[in-house]
Formats: sequence, C-alpha cells, structure tokens
Amino acid sequence: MRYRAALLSAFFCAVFFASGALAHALEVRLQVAETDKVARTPATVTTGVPFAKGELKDVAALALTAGGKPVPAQFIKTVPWDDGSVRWALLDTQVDVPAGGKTELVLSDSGKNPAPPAPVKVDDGAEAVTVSTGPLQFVVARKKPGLFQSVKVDGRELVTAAGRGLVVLKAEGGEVQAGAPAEVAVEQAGPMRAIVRLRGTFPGVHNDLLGYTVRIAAFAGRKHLKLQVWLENRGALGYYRAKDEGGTSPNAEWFAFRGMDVELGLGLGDAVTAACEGVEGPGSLKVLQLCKQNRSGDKNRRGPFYTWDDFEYTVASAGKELKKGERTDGVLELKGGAGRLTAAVRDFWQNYEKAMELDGKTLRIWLWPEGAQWPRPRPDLTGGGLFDRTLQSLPKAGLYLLPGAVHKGHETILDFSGRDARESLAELHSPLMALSSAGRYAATEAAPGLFAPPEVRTAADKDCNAKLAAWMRMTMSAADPDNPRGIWRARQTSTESNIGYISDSSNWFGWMEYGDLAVPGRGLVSLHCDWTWIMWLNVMRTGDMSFARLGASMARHRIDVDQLWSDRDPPECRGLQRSDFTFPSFHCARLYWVPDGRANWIAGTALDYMLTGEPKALECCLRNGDGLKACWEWVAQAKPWGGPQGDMAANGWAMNTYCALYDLTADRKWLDEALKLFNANVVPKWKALGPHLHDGNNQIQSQDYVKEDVKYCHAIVPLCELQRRTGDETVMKLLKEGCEKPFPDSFFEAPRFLADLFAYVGMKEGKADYLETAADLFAQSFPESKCPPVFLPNNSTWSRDAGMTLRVGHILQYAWWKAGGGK
Amino acid sequence: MRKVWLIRLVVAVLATQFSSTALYGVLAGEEASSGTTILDTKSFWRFRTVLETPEQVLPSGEVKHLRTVGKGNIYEWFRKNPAKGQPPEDMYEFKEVDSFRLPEDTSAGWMKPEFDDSAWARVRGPMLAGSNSEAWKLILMRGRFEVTDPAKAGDLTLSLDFRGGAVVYLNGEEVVRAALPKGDLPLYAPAEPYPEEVYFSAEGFALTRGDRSPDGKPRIEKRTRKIEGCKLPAGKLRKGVNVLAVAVHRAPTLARVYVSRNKGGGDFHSDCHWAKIGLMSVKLTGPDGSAVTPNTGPLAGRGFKVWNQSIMQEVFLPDYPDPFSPLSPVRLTGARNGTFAGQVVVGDEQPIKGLKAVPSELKGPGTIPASAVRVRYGLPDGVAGYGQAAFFDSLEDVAPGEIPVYKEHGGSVQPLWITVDVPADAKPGDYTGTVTVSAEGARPVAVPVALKVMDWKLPPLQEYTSRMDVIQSPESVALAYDVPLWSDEHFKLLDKTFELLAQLANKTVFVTCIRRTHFGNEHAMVRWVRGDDGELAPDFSIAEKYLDVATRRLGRIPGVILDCWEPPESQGHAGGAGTAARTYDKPILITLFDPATGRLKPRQGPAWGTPESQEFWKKLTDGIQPVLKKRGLEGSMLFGLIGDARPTKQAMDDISNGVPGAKWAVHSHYFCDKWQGYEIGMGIALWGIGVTPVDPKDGYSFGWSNPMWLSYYPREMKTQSPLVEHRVKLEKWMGAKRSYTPFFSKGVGPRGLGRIGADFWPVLKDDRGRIRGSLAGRYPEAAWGQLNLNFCIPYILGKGKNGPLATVRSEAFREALQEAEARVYLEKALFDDEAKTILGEELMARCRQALDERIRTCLHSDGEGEAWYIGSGWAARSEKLFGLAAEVAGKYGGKAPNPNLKNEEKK
Repeated sequence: MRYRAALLSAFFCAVFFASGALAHALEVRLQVAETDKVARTPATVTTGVPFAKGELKDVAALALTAGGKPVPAQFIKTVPWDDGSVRWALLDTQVDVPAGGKTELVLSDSGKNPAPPAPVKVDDGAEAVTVSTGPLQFVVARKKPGLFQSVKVDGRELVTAAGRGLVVLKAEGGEVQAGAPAEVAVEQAGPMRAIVRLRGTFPGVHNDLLGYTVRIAAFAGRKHLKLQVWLENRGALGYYRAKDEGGTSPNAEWFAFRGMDVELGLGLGDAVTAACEGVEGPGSLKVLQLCKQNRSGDKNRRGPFYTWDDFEYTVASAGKELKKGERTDGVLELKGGAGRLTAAVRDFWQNYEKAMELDGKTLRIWLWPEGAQWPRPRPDLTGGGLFDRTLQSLPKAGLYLLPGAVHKGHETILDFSGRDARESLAELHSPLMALSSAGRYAATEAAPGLFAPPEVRTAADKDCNAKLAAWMRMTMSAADPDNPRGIWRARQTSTESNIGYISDSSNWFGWMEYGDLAVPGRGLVSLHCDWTWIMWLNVMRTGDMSFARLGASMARHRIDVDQLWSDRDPPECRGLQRSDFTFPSFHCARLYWVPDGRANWIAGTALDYMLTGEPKALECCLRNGDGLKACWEWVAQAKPWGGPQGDMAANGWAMNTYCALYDLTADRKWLDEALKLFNANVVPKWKALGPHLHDGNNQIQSQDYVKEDVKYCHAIVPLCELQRRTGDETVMKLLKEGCEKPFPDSFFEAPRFLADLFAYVGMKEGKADYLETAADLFAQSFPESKCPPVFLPNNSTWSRDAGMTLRVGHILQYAWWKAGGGK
Repeated sequence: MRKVWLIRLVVAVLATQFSSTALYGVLAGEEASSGTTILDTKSFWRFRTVLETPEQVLPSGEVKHLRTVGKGNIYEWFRKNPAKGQPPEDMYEFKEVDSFRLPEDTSAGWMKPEFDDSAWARVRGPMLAGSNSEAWKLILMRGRFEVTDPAKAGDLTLSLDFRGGAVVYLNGEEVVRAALPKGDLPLYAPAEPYPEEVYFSAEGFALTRGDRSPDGKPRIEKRTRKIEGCKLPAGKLRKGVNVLAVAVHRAPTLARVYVSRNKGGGDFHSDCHWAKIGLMSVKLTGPDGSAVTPNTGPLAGRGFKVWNQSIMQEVFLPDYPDPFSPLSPVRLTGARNGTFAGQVVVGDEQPIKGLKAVPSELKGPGTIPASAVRVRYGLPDGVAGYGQAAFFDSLEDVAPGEIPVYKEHGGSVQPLWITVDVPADAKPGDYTGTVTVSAEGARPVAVPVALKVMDWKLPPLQEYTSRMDVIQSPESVALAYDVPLWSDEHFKLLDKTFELLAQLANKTVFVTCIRRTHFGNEHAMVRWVRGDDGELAPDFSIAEKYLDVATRRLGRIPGVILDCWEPPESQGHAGGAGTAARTYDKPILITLFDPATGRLKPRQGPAWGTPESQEFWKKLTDGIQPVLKKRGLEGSMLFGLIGDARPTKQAMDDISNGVPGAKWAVHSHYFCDKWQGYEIGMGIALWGIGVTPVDPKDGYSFGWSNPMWLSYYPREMKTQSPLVEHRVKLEKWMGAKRSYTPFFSKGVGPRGLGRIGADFWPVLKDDRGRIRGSLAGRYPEAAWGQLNLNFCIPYILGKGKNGPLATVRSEAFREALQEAEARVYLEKALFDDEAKTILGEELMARCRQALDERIRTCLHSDGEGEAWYIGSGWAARSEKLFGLAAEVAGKYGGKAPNPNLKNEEKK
C-alpha cells in the first residue's frame, strides 16, 4: 500500500501538469460521421472546436483540410479565454460524407483557409436584407410583414411575397398575420453560412405580448434554407402572489389560440403537385399528424390518456383521405413547372401535432395545426394546484395554450435543390458535426467541468477499474436508440397510467415534448440535474452522435420551455430555469416549487452553445446568469424562510452555473458571484455544522428527511470547479476538511460523491492515498453490474438516480488521468 | 405578556387534548380554601361508570330509548327556512332502538362501607367532565376518609358540580340528592331532564359546546348543576374509616335536538353533542382542627403499606396508597396452561430496603406449587406521556435493593406483579394462597391470592391462532448490552428475547439481506464473500444462528421475512401508497465479508434489472431455502419489506427470480393483497383492510378464518398507551367488524396485530456518547415517515439490566392473546353446523351474548372509556369467557369444533 502510494506520488511529481496533449503546432483531427445511412453530397457541418488557454490567439489563422486538400471553412470565435485567446471557435464547412461513413478533417493554424467557390453574400440594406448563396437568393423586408419578399433559385422566384408568413389563428376566430419585424439582424454573414434574424410581434394579439423570432440560415453554394421559428409568449408564466386565493393565478398570462402556421407563397408553376408518404395530390395535399386520445378503455387508467400506440397521421387531398398511418416525418415534396421544393419540420411527429399543406399556390407549414389541443384534457383538474386552476379556467377543446414566459420553437427546411428527400431530411434531422478526440476535448479544459477520456483507469484498483468500465457502458447505453433501458425508450413511455397522487403530474408534454424525460408519478422533470450537460459531455467523450441528438433536443427544451423569458414575472424569478417539477404546485395553502434558483443548471446549455454555436443558447445562458444573480441578490436581502440560502445544493448548482458562465464569457464577475455565494451561505454553515455542511444527527425532522447530506454531496463538484477556477484557499480548506473528517453515516449514496472530493483534493494536494480512497469509494458505490440500466419503467426515481450516476465520477477519472500522465 | 398568554393557551389546548391527564395526572389536590379539605376531585377515588344506550325525553315527558330521525325532505325544509333551527313536529319521528347496558351487574349495595371496591378503577376525578358522549349512564364513586373522633369532627360540608343528577351517601346512607326523582331511587333512574334553554339559543338553534356568546354562555353554564354547602349529618360519621359515595345519573336528552341544527352549521353538528352526565368537581371540607384525617395526598405516619391495583392500570411514580382502603385478595381467573396476573403496590414514606415477596403454594382442588407463582417488580422505565409521570413498565425478577423516595409524591412506591402459570393439568376450581411481602423494618404483609382455574386448556403458545408480528432488532440488543454483534453473549440475550416473544404469539422473524434498512442495521445478516474468481457468494452463517435461536423459542415460525428491499426515500405521510410517485427502488446495499481480515465492507450490489441482479438474488434464494428447510421453515419464506413506498416490478422480479410462488410481506398504511403480480403472504395494514370495529350485531370478523395473513397495524398505539388499550386491541380487531371496502368477502378480518417493535430501545448514541434514539429510522432515507416504528410501539419488551424483560404492556398483550384463543374457540363452536345439537341453543345464546358483550366493552374502552373499562368487571367477563369455553369443551368431549362460515358470509 505504501509502495503504491509512493509510486503515485512519483507520478504526481513527474507528470502532474504534463498532460502533453496539446502540441505547439496546432493540428486538430476532426471526424465527421454519418449515421443516418444517407450520403451527404455535401453536408453542411457546423461544430464548435475547443482550444486550450493560449493555444490560439485568433481564428483568422485557422484552416481546414480533408485528405490533405484544403477545404473552405468559416471560423468564428464564440468563446474567449480570459487572456483573450480563443476558447471555442465555431467551424462551418461542407464536406462529402458517404452514407454511414466518416470523413476526417484536420484543423490547423496554417492560415491557408481557401475561399469557397460560391461564398454566401449578404446585402444588409436599409429596406431589405438580401442573402445570396450563389444559386439561391432570398430577400427579407425590414418594414413589411410576411416572411420572405422572395426566394429565388437559379434566377426563378420559387417563393413569392404572396405568402403571409407567420399566421396565428385566434381562439375567438379569425387569423392574424405577424407584424413587420421590429428588428432584422444579420447574425452571420458568411462566407460559408449566413444567418438573418427577424423579431417582431403579432399586433393586437394577447395584449401585444405575443412575439416571434425567425432565424433564416443559408449556406454557400446550397439551394436550401433552414428556418427556425419561435412563437414567443412575452407574458408572465405567473406565480401566485395575491392574497385572494380564489380563481386562477392573477398574473398567469397564458395565450390561447387555435393554430399557427408559416404560410409561403409559391412560385413553382401553375400545376403544382405534392407528394407525401408515397401518395400525391394535385394542387392540394395535407399531411396531418395527431396523437389521439386512447380509446382502449383500459380501466386501470383514469380519464383521458395517450400512449405510444395512439399516433395517427392522415394524408388527404381536397378533403379526401389518401393514406393513414401511425407516424410520419411529414416530408412534403412539391413539384411544379418552375421548380421543386422539399419542405420538412424537424421532429414532425415527435413534437406535438404538426401538418404540412399545399393549398393551391400556398404552402402552409402548420406548427400548431387546427384540430388539436394543448394541454391535453386531464382526468383531475380539481386537485387545487395553482396551475390546475389556471388550466381549469383556460383550456378549451381545440385550443392551444402557450404558457407565459415560454418560447416554443420549431425548425424547418426548405430545400429547392431537387435532391433526394431523404437527404433533405437528414440535413434537417441529423446535422453533422466534426468531432475531435476525447483526449483533446478533455485536455483543453475548455468545456465546463473536468473530465477524462473514457478509457482512463486507476493504477491498481481492480474493483474501481471494473466499475469505471461498467460506468462507461452505462453511459453508452443511455443514448443507444436500441437500448430498451435507455433514454430513447424513456421518451416513448407514457406516464399517465401511474399518476394518481401528485395532482400536477400529467402528460401535458408526455413523449411529445422534446427533451423532456417522463418520470412516472413525478410528471416531466424538466431535465433535472442537467442531463443536457451529460449528453453533450459524452458527445465529446465518445463521439457518439446519439448523445448529440439527445443533447440538442434537451438543450432546445431547456432554452425554450424551461427558461423563463418573460420580464413580467417577479424580478427574482424572471430569468431563472423553471423549477424542476414542471410547474409550481399549490398544496396545503403553500406554493411549492416557485423558481427560486434551487433548480437551475446552465452548464449543459453553455456546452450546447460551445459545440453548436446556437445563438439562442448563448442568449439563454446570459439571461439565466443575470436572472440567477438577481434571484440570489433578492434572497440575500429577503432571506425567505426556508429559502435557498441554506440549501447547499442550490448554492452549489448556482456556483456551477456561474462557473459555466465564466467559461462562456471569460468575465470574472461570474466567479465573483460564485465566491459571494460561498462566503455568504456556505461558510456560515461550515462554521456551524462542520465541513460537511450538515449535522449527521439531525437528518430526520419529524417525518421529513432533511437531505442536507445529499445537498452537500451535490455541492462537491461545484465547489471543486469553483476552486479550480479561482484557486481560492478558503474553498480548498473546506474541501480538505471534508476529506479529513469522517462523513456522517447519513446518505447511502455519499461515497460516489466523496470519490470526486477525494480525487480533487488528492490531485491538488498531491496526496496519492486520497486518490486511492477515491477509487475505493467509487468501487464501493457503483453497482456490481456490467451495465446498469439508465431507465427502468415505472421507477419514479430513474431520471434522478441515473443522472446522478452519470454526472459524478468525472473528477475521479480526470485525477487518475493526470496521475497517469494523461494515459 | 403576550408570551405568557400564549403559553397559557397552549397549556389549555394541550390539557383538552390529553384527557388521560385527569386519569393519571400528576396534580395533587386543589387550591387551598378555608377549612380543611378532606376529599376533593383530585383525591384517589374508586370509580365505576356504566354505559347504556341513550334515552330521550319525548314531548310527552316520557323517557325512552329511542332514535329521532327526520321525515320527508327535512333538508329541503331547512334550506327554505334558514332562520329556523328546529323543524315542525311533522318533520321528524321517533324510532325504537335496541338498548344495552354495560356492566349490568352493579351491586345495589355499592354505597355500603363494607362493599369491596378493589376491582373498581382507582383514579382521580373529574369524571366525564368534558365528555360529549351520550353513552354514559352512571358514575359511581367511593372515597374514604378517617374520623378519629366523631364528636370533634365538626360540620363537614360537601360541594358537588355535576351534569345530570346526583345522590350522595355517607357510610351507606343517603345524605343529599339533586335533580333526581324523589322517593326510592333505582340505580339506573334517569336524572331530571334539562330545560330547553340549555339546548338552544334564543333564536332556536342548537348550541355548540364551545359557545361563549353572551347568549350562549349562560345557557351552557346551566348544564352544570350543583350541590353547594351541603352539611353532612354529624351523626352519620363513625370513628375510623368513613365512606363517601356519590352516584351521578344521566339525564335524558331532549329528543328534538337531534333534528335541529346549529346556526350556520347545517345538520345537527357533532359539536352540539354533550354528555348529560359528568362529575366536574367534588369537595368535602371540615373546619380547621377537625378530628378528621383527610385523603388528599400521601399521608404521613402510616408507614409501609400494601394496596391493590388493577393490572389494567399502570402504576405511576406519583401514585400513593390510600391509607384507608383495606387490602383485598389478589383475584385471578384463568384457564389451564395459561399465565394470569394480579398486582399489588407497596409504598412507604421512606425508602424501602430489603423488599421481598414470597409466594406460597396455592391450594384448592389440587395444589399449584409456589414455583408457579412468580412475583416481579416493576421498573420505573415507562415513557411518560404528556402531562404524565413515568410509570412502572418493565418487570424484573429481583427486587431493587432500595426503593427510593420519589420526589413526585414524597414517598417510595413499588408495584409487585404476581403471575401464576396455571399448570396444564391443574384441576379446575378455586385456589388460595398468599404472597408475603416484607421489607426491612416493616411488619410482613400477607397478601391473599385467590385463583379460579377454569376447566379449559389453552393450546401451547406456538399453536396460538393469533398471529403477532413483533419485530426483533438484534442490533439493538447488541448495542443495549454492549456486546459484540453475533457473539455468544449476544445470542444468549437473543434467546431470552425470543422466549419473551414466544409468549406474545410472535409469528415473524426478519432476516436482513441488505444493509441500511429502516430497522437501522448497519450491515446485513446475510453477507457476501468475493471468491478468487471475483464472484460473490452468500454467507448464511449468521442468519442460520439467528434462525436457530428464534425457532428454539418460536417453533415453526410462519413468517420468515427476507428483508431484501427498501425504498430510497420513505418519508412523509401515507398518501400515495401504490402510486408511481411512491414506486421506486433503493440500490441494493450489501455487506461484503472479507474472511481474510474479518472486515465487513459496505458495497452496492448489482443494479436492478441486470443479469447480475437476477443471478445475485438467485444465489441468495437458492442458498437460503435449504437453510429454512433444515429448520422446518420451507413454507415460511416471504420477501420484504414493502411499505407505503413500494417496489417496482423489476425489483420484485429480480428478487423473486427462481422462486416459484414467491410471496411478499407488506407493512403499509394501506391494505394490499397483490403487488406487481406477486401475492402478499403477510399484510400488515391500517386502512383498507375491509373491517373496522363496530357493534357485534353486524357480525364478527373471524380473522382466524382469513386465508390471507392479514394483521392490523395499531399505529395509534404508543409506548405510553393505556394498558386497557393493550388488552383490548387484539380482540377488538379480531372480533368486531364492518366491511366497508370490497377487498374481502364478509366475515374475514385480521388475525393479529403487526408492526410492533420488540426491542427498538433508545440505544443509538451520537458522537458525544449521548443517546440519540432508537435504530428505527437511524438512516434518514429509511426512516419510513409515519410508518416509523418510533411512531407506534418501538419496544414492547423492557431493557433490563441483564437482559430483556417483559413489561406490563407485553403482559397485557399476553393475557389478551389468551382470551383471544378462548374467543376463537367459542366462535368456531358457534359456527359449527352441529352447534345446535352439540351445544344447545341456550348455551349458544350465552356464548354469543358473552362474545358480543366483550366486543362492546372493547369498543368503548378508548379515551374516557379507559376508567370505565377498568371498573367494568373485566375480570368477571374473563371468567365468563373461560367458563363458557370450558362448558363448550365439555360438550365437544375432546373434539374440535368444525366451523362453517358460509351462512355468515351471506349476511
């Protein structure tokens, strides 16, 4: 034992900071993998690439090759280090990738970045913005309603100004066209990709609180456009603040409407035909995807419910049903004398009801088609929950409710190239990324959170090594679409049958809301504990694009639905993540789960931005950071009874968010905020209760498990991450004391968290025995199974437990990686 | 100032919540007034109360047992007449009801000085003062005082506050009566009806008890009647002990009140009920210097004293002897092969040293040797309830070397618990003997013991029909006696424990297969050893020893619960049992044993739903089955323990993998007979079990016939629950029923009580060595919220100096179990198709009447019924029960009854 400890110490002395993964001459190998079995000729590739601190001063030096040949690319510095060097750069390029195959790219700082043959050009004019990709040109007017003034392909105007653009069908009847944009901004101007953003409102609707954002992306030399369309309720989500407890929440500004579509005027010619799912309709065709109420009469289930088997789509022409089935991707192929257009919506059947419709010379992309409803009818709306009462008063058959503060977005493709529709769909559904190696991602330390390549093991702890291998298998299984115990299956699992007690659990979102993980009995957990981060982290660790698919959809959910976007909510709430039980609940005359900073994670969204460059992710992170700061300032002032100030997990997660924001912005103010929390809330608890921040003897108060031990455990990684970034000695002292004093025997899962603690302190202090302890703790706490399942049906804790298992352990692995010289 | 007010309010509220304070309260005497108080409300009195079906007084003035019910649409009438509190006469009618009275055998000479009141409850007043029950018919109370010289006694003055009517006797002769009929006074004569004004407000609405409005308050106050300043005739006093006897009679209720309503309250509200009987206060005073010795507290100069105390009453530290009560024989009635108890208490003004109690043999139709008579000494370790002092709970075989003077009453006090193990071959009949009680410096007192042996034999303990689920905690025993876990000393202590649990008909034993369960076990009893190949193998060596020691005393235990499952969180209330919100599994936490070092390591077992998990559990179940078979327990294996939080099917499948017909055990608020497709082999539940105790006219629950092992979880019980509750709980639930949920066919109820801790004593210490609590709920995630053993009875056994002990509570259970056996025997006989032929209708009717009567007494034994029960003649009922069992057994001539419940089920 002593010998091993000495050996490990030698490792530390010799190789501690010699990770050596970063060569002086920059050469980053990137791999683009195609998994949809569709050849991409070429594919547009957009990916964030990390750099170690000081490794790259300027993206202007970057260049890309494929097979030794230069490839045109666009580089944008998205995230800086605090010394100004590039932390993350966003790479945009186009490469051919064979179906199911891979293409390797090499990124270097040679400075020899060739221009594309047909670069994207943007004319940012006073009246209109014109973007040209070479063969395709679109015009967006600054002061006129309607989405496009025109879209021309090879000189022919295939989309005309006749379309009304965004149209909302009002609850009381009638249609409203979105107003002219209040803002038209060029976010990216080429040479490989241009993005134009439009923002505006629907005048006279919902007290002028209904807004929209549209992003239109065009690609060098390509004949397709990608559109992101958000319907934005700028009203309040609403929190119960009134003394009068009757009726609905006084400030829940939810918007009810019958439907919403994107309407495009077509210039494809006079005799346009449309095809979908193998059937054709001349001049008119509509594909409608619904999820119908289950009619099985299952007596074990209360009230209306929906299952995986209740999908139904129909394709009809002129009112005549041509085809019927369960699920469709809804790809509409239009052909006319003047051109072709393939249109599709991402997650067509997965993400609520959708429809695509050719109606003469108009294409209507129904993002909220008429004839459906949200929320779904619920069996029990009398539970007294605040939102129960809101929903009781608001929903009507055939109406959608867009909750206040929610931005709900959809992504579509308009492909005029005439290529195989499968390729268009793959472009939309499975955008390709150019991924580096796990070692590089880890060595740059550019992402929020320490981690190591998955193959790293300890020096001699066989038990721990076996458990690390099992941990990795579990990780891989999480995103495996074929794994019946993975997240994909979890998303297909209805929860309603098992819900009986908690009144605010329901299938409001169910399988239809991307990114939601349905937990029996708890309803939708809104990505508790930052599953998004787990997904994106493992994209970097494994290169498996299944993680990217899930990570992207989880990030979308976090950005749109979980982020509170309204400025009309109370200041201490308005920028936060929605609380993790979907909606606040009213019980025993108290309002539970009002967002108060207790359940707020942003690292995953930050990573989403770093890896994809999604602008709304950055916007979300910054808003959330400001919101969190405002929240904690309010908490410090108001000191609410039972507030988050005494909750070490809440403090920890907030610190983690601040650290991620620092990683994203290089602005030290975020670290200052984190240290402020540490000094204001953690230190007093430390003084009162010792370094584990809880009293092991008082974990049970009456009938409640206080869980301060759990909360400390959740704070371990954030405290380590804070210490790593700040080098703060007080934080280090707390962590060290946490190792020195035996942990109270109160939380059965504590060892797996303590493993990270011992690993971090061991690594920083050069204590080899701590590393061994960490390994033993991990071995002790990880199950004796080759591949523990992520999802177990009907187990209401699977999401939390599996999330916890996959989130911790990374510091342990990183410390051993460093101890072993990066091997 | 505000704080003082708040404290007063809290005290007042708590005082109303804990009425038993009055019964066993620490308060001694009332505020001093002029003169000398001789007897007052807080003196120890001997009480008997009687209950009877309520009477109503009709508009004609007639008093009858009736029920007043609305006619037509009385609700509609009230809706249309919101300003009226009472309906017109044509809106209601009177209906005859069956009536009964319990007890029925009160002696007409109850007020005579020589009457033996030792079987009555020895408690302090007031009696039924705050009652809202209309069931109580009569309060009889007897108090004693001493007159040293009648000529110098002076004028003794009596004051009495009561509801109903009252009559007072001095030495057997009436001295005053109020609100009662004139002339001869039958024992059960109703008191004068109350005027309407005490029922209704000026507006005609029914008054609630708590009405303090200017209109309501004086009306409510008029419900209390008074005898004030009544001078006792000096001539009726006698030298020596005098007996003041008071009878309080119930007044009938105005019939119309039941169809009235209180203002704004809709129907006649429960707050409008009030008992038309009650003894609020009593005070007998004499002039200062009177030649009367008062009885308001411990009396100096009386020395060593022995007095009778019912075994239904705990002895509290402040208890003191009534110096004027004669010592009566300790009377026991029982069946052969049973154990029956009596109690006396000794006390002195000074510490008692060298206390000794020596029983004699008991002589009667045969001889019961002195060795069968056991005297045990109570230890003052009973947990005090709110407002109560500690009580003597554990029963130690050896007398304390010195019994101290307890500050609570300024004297020493020591209960002696006398039990007789009636030999299985004892001849029936009356036996007598003595227990001679002596102490240093005190004259020995021979306490007469009278035992009546009935001609009926109880089965061996292991064959009892009742199934008790008393949970043993081996870790608690090890910690309590500071012996190494699973050491020889530990197993010796466990042997003693199981000996005591056998006396409680315990039918379960728990074998922990995982660690950190809600039983607070740091490690599992079943350990795992990692072989050279890295594979885990179970080690049952500890489990085998534990089963050996358990089966040695309990025999073939029908429920061996392999504790394999725990929820990851189990806090809070009962809501949601069986919903997905409370369906989850804690990781499998196991103990790894390293044979090389002897060290135990905490480890996490395989994850649920993995092949490793199925293999793991199969190794365990494959391994444990021969272990059980070897001990004749092959049919006893149950997996557990399901609580309000319940396992997923995945976990149950994993655990039960490879065990055909695997059954599980449940301890939950809610009844559950199947979970995730698995049969429940033992269900301990509080709600939804299909029965609730109601009047026996609705039938019995026949728990013994239940094909499922269903037991009632008496969550409402505590360690400080009255002994009466311990005595009646089993019979109440096994005997009485109402099917209110359709889970079972009628006539199928619980067959015992469950989820009672045997020995979850406070043994857990904190870092500073302070006792922190019991092992139950030691681990925060496994505290089980409202199902925590600490919320009910964490320990029924006592923690003696040298080992576990029986307690007065466990003895109450024990006698209840014996009576339950007799009850079940009679029930089986009554439902034998040949009963009419074998027993005859007359005997059957007597059996049914006795069984009904027993249930009714159980039903009224709660709360304010406790004192009633103590003085209600329970010993006579036990005698009747065993006597009937003897009669029936005689008719059957050795055959066992063959019950057939089909006809009963059709009811």
